[in-house]
Amino acid sequence: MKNALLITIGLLIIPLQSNLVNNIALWGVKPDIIFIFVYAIGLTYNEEKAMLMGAGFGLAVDIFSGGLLGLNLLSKAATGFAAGALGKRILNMRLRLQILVIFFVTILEVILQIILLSLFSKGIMFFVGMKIIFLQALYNSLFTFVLLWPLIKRLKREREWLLSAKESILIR
Amino acid sequence: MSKPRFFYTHKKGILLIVIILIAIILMSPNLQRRPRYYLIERPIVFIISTVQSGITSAKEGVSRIWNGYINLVRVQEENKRLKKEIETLKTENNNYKEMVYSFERMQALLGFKETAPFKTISARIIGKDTSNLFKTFTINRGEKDGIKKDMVVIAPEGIVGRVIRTSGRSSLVLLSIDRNSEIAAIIQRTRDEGIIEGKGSSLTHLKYIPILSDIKEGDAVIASGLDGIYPKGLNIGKVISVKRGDAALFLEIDVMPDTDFARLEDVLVITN
Repeated sequence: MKNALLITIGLLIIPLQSNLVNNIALWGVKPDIIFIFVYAIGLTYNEEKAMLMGAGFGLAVDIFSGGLLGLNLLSKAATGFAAGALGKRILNMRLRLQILVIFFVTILEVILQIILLSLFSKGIMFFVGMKIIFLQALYNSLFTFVLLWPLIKRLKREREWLLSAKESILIR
Repeated sequence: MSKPRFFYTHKKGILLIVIILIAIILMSPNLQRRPRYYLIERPIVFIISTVQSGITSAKEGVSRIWNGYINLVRVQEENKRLKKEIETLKTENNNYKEMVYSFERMQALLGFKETAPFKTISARIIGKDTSNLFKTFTINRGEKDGIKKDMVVIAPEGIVGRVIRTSGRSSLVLLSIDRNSEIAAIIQRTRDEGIIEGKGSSLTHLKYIPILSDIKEGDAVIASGLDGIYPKGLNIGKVISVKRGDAALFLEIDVMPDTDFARLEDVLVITN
């Protein structure tokens, strides 16, 4: 049931990304809300689920977009994996560090896409690639943080509660 | 007993390998060049393009309501006494303006459609590419409207791109500014022939123009028709910069497309 809901939300996010998000593009670069959704799945569940969901949504994006088929499948799966593995570990850390991790994961995702494009397609011009990498990383980290801040806070609380429950069991 | 345990302990690695393998298979050139969506892809395209059409309509409705609201606020500030009257007039005025703009746009498209020497079908852009790496549009016309792969998409200002994939009620258009787009072109004044290639930004690049050619900024670039896809004479854009390298054989030319891709809402697809 949960999976069906996640898939439905994901399939609704793709047309939103291709339609509404264009209105908030800066210098031709827009935030990637599919990335944000996969990142959220990585934080909430585990690496495997985020990887699978990321691959599925990435494939849907690839089918619908005119780009290289398989590009988003791989990069969004990698995002899911990174969010599950890295994102969870830094939940207790400072705000700046969390933004930095999101920034870093976005850069990794775009670099992976550019590498795949150079290997399997026509590649991308250097300055266009650099612009996309930095602007999208900035944009994504800002948006991810604003949209996912309530989720991060909730997960933090849950983790603290779990730790205190564990401690009280140990004391007894 | 040992097999499931192996899968369980190496679940992440196995999953990663499977995803990489699927991605590599999908990236094969044969699958990239498919002219139509496969049967398995169609439900996804159908769901996404249907939602997209809905969002486009909803967006227009919300913007109409929002414009009405903005007008209301302005009128209140301007004159409280005449608030109601002005409010109604402004809202009406805005609706009329919107109708006039829409009418003008449609008239321009219709005028162009009537004078153009080819058979065309009008289409509406219902979505743009989700990523920042590709430049594509989705239009609300598909196979059921007679759209086929490689049909040219134009606007009154000039070339927009060509259809690269079709489904029942929607099609994917590769814009002339995409890195994968190439158009056989000719400089209108000097008659030098070259190839227009997208730069992945809002500009295009004109390749293979000899260094001795007398090209100036502002020269018009049109389709030469030699690629067998784009009809000869269609506007592409204007030369905005010409660079001459010391040891280069060809000029480095940037061309600004005549079509404003950011503001494009309706297009024509050449069907013959």
